[in-house]
Amino acid sequence: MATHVSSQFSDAYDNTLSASERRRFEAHCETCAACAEQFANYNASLNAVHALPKARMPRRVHIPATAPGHAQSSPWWQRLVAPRWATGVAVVAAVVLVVVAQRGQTVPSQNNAVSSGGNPKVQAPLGAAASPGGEKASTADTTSCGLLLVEMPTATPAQGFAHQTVVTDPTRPQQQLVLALADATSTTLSPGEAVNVYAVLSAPLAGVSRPGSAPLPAVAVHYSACVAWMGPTGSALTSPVSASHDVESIRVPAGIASGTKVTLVAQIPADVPQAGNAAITAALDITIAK
Amino acid sequence: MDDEALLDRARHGDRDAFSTLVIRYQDELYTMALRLLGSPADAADVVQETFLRAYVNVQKLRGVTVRAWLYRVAINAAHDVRRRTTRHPTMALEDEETGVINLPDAELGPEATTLAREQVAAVRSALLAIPEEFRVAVVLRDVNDLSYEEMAHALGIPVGTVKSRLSRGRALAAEHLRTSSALFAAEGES
Repeated sequence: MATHVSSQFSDAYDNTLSASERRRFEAHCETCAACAEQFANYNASLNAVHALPKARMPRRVHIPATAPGHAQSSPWWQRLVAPRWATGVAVVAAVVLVVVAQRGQTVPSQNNAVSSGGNPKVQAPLGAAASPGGEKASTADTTSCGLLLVEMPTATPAQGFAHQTVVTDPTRPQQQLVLALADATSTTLSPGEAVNVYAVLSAPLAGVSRPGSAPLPAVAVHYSACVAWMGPTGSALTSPVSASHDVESIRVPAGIASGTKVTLVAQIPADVPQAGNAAITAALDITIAK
Repeated sequence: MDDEALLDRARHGDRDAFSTLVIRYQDELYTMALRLLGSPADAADVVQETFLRAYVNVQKLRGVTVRAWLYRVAINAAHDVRRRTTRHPTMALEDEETGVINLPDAELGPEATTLAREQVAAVRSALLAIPEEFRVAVVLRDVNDLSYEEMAHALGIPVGTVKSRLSRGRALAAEHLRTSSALFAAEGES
């Protein structure tokens, strides 16, 4: 229903009417019940729009491996780098986003990843399972290992899970690969059981602040690891699955005899987050229950 | 560090600087896209597309603020996502609340919480019911709190046109909400 001053409602709401316009508007509303009511409803409606909850981006933003705005002669998707370890794993999209964080640190090239805790095994790059087996509850892209997960609110990696292993590399001591069972009460799991796995490489990133102002708190940049199940002889029971969220649901392989020792392995590929970084691997020993 | 300094560093190859811009703006761009498209998945695609495009075109920003530029890229990305997606906007509040960081007050009683949820659903529905051209204006102003000038830069139109679209969009939203019992029952109780 058109009213006398409805065309001014938006400006009135924003307080952008001039002083004289405002006086005339208010004077009219004092004498016109229809306009007064309609403006009241208008206000309530816009207040409700303003009150809509803010949302948080639910996925990590991935950015390319090349420098920002780098001069390009080919489409951006052709310049994305595929993980070198992915031999034998089907690449669905043919492109993978890998980010090399530049923090001014020079990292000498070494070939050994050293475990500071948990299982000290050094794993070869994770490849496809030799024989079909196990189920993946997750639908994560297997080509997404080593993806930069941009936002983390704390400088320290999330730990404190009851069953976890933390692996570091002496060439980059501030970074930690944490592999954990997020909700499990023990490391004895049933065949086919779905478990929540946390597999993340955490790299502290100093806060950026305006010169002269208080420094912003440091945050941690997380990189997604790939996880896979390995049998007692080291054979792959499942193909790697990317833990593209901090906690990923995966299934214990089915059809394994009770009492068998299997290993849950998480791996960050080489050159993540910087070229020259060796692959880093963490492993948890799991016992198959009845 | 302000946006322009970060962008300048990004132009010189500093990926961390660009990452800081991502952290700074991803949530508000996601909120905008969510209110424009109604689908959390599409909104997330828009944000990802926005920062990819911004990353590639970081040398091209001239004459507008970083914020307005990112919004312009995001609005274009939202248009593209909407054209190519076959998804339909979801009305399930559960989908949205996985990413919402300002949920109804936990201290509210069940009845008030239900009313708050219904109000949110009514407002979401009203926004999605108005034509896109006007919906964008309302979302940018009343959801994302952009100034008229920022809106003009983001939309590539004069401020006068911004005001005109905003006025029309707001009137349409208010008309849709006029019959909302969830909204005006809450107002009547306050």
